[in-house]
Amino acid sequence: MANAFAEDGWDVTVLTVDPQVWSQISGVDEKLAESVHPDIRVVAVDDGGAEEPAKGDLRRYSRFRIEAPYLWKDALRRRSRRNFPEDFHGAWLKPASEAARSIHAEKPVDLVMASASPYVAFGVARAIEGVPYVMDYRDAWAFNTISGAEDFTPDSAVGKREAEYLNEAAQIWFVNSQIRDEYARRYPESAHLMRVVANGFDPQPGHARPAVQPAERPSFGYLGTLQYVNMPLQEFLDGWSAAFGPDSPQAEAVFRGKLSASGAAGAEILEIFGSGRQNGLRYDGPISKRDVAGFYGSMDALILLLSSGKYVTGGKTTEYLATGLPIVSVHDMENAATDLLRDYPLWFPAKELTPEGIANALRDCAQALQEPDEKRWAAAWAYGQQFLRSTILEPVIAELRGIAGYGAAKPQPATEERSQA
Amino acid sequence: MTSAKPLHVSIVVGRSSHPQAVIDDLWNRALGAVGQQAGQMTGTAVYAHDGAPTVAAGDHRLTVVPLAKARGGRFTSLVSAAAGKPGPVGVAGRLLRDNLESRSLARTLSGRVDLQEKFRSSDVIVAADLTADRSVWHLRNSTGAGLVHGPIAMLHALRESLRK
Repeated sequence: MANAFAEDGWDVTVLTVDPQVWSQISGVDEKLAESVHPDIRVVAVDDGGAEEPAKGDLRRYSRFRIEAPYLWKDALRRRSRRNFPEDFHGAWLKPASEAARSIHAEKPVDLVMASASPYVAFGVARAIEGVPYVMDYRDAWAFNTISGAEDFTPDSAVGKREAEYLNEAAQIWFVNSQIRDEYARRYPESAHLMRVVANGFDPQPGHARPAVQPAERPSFGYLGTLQYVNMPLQEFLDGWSAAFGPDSPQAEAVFRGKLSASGAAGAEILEIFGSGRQNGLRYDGPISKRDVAGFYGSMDALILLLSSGKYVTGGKTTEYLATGLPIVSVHDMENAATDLLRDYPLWFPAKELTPEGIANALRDCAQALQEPDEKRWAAAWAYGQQFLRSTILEPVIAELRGIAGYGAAKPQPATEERSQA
Repeated sequence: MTSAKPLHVSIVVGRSSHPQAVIDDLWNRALGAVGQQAGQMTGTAVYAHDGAPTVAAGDHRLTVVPLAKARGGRFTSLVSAAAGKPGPVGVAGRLLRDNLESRSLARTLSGRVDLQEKFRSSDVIVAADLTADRSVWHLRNSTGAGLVHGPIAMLHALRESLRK
């Protein structure tokens, strides 16, 4: 997103946690970092202790943490919420707010884009008084987008704080209409500020229309963070065996990406992939975002495994669509993602999340791959290109020019004195 | 990553349902992080088991050392039963169970002179799970190695070792 603003001529400053912290808690995609627009200034800030539970540096562990890790974590959780009502991340409010004010003092900021999660970013956005801010929800703060369970009510203390933030925002962004509608129901007084800004894909080097050729033993790819706790993974594994046989499978499935949000993985999931090799399944580890086109180019079809829940779109859905490859959907058809996929010419949904339902979808896809229809493949490619992130962001960024007080005309970057933090 | 220094990584696995998968994952990730220098890297993986040893080294550069878990008494059984219960009893049970298991593993490891020596000469020592943390944490005054919990911190520590 920052690149899109920079391309549009904005002077962009990104406020984020120190790269050393990122390296400790999740790793850094160096190639992706290199693709950040050269005019963007990145201000790295100390995490204020917010990421301490995720850091695995045992030298920093206290005896209390070693003796009673759950109690240590709970004590930290409670302490972190004193500044902002979000577990652990609340501790980032102070250092990040100070940094935001410093950026503003150095060069006045015209607009703040606050992307969650963590939601403490919304608190930081308000640290610069009088500057309009956009709340960019990727998930929902008030409820769980997978289970739908409410985390706090609108009339709770946190709900009232969220309502105040929403009321005073310049715009409020959601990734799909399902989350927006629920937020509009909860906070009707701010509904007029809410809009859907869908996820888009960023074309990476090598992004190209796939070759149309028959595949007798197709390769199915999965790319993304495998949130296996919430995904129908076991159903998929059973469906895979049912479709292609357990011993000498007629297809292969290659999984790439992280096995959890942090990158760590439970022993059970590691065992699944370790023992799945005879089944044609394998896990090849994470991949740089900059290399995804090469991976897609080596696959015949893709597997879209998503958590269930009507609010779930999935960050990778548009990226999958943009490949022009057949997509086998293994998720609840009530998911928000279905809205994007319904008209895709190469969509093979599992109509039921049962082993047989999934096996049928995989078989249907494999059959289509044996004699691919060029027109259908071409239509799929054309359909997917509409989700280019820059195309999605162009009109909303143009609107934000007005909010920042610069009209809709594209400014000259060299002379503009605006910035977006 | 320009250092030509050969690295040694040690892995300590406490309670795990699939120690083979955990060790393979950590070792493969370590190899991936070190990249072209992987040929020079060696490793020692230690894991606790309460039956027959089951883990095999999938790589000649990795040495796997099984450690038999000390047999628990009646108190240990009571704690394990409590750990499976819901509510505050379960929380207390899990806290106590993990604490006892980590102490037991640390005691066993501290009695192994050969392993202590191996740890002291390691560049990075990784605890694979909560019950292994104490054993690695105890080494903080006897080695300058990176002492970490989990794969992500291990990768960070390896990158830092290579930069030195």
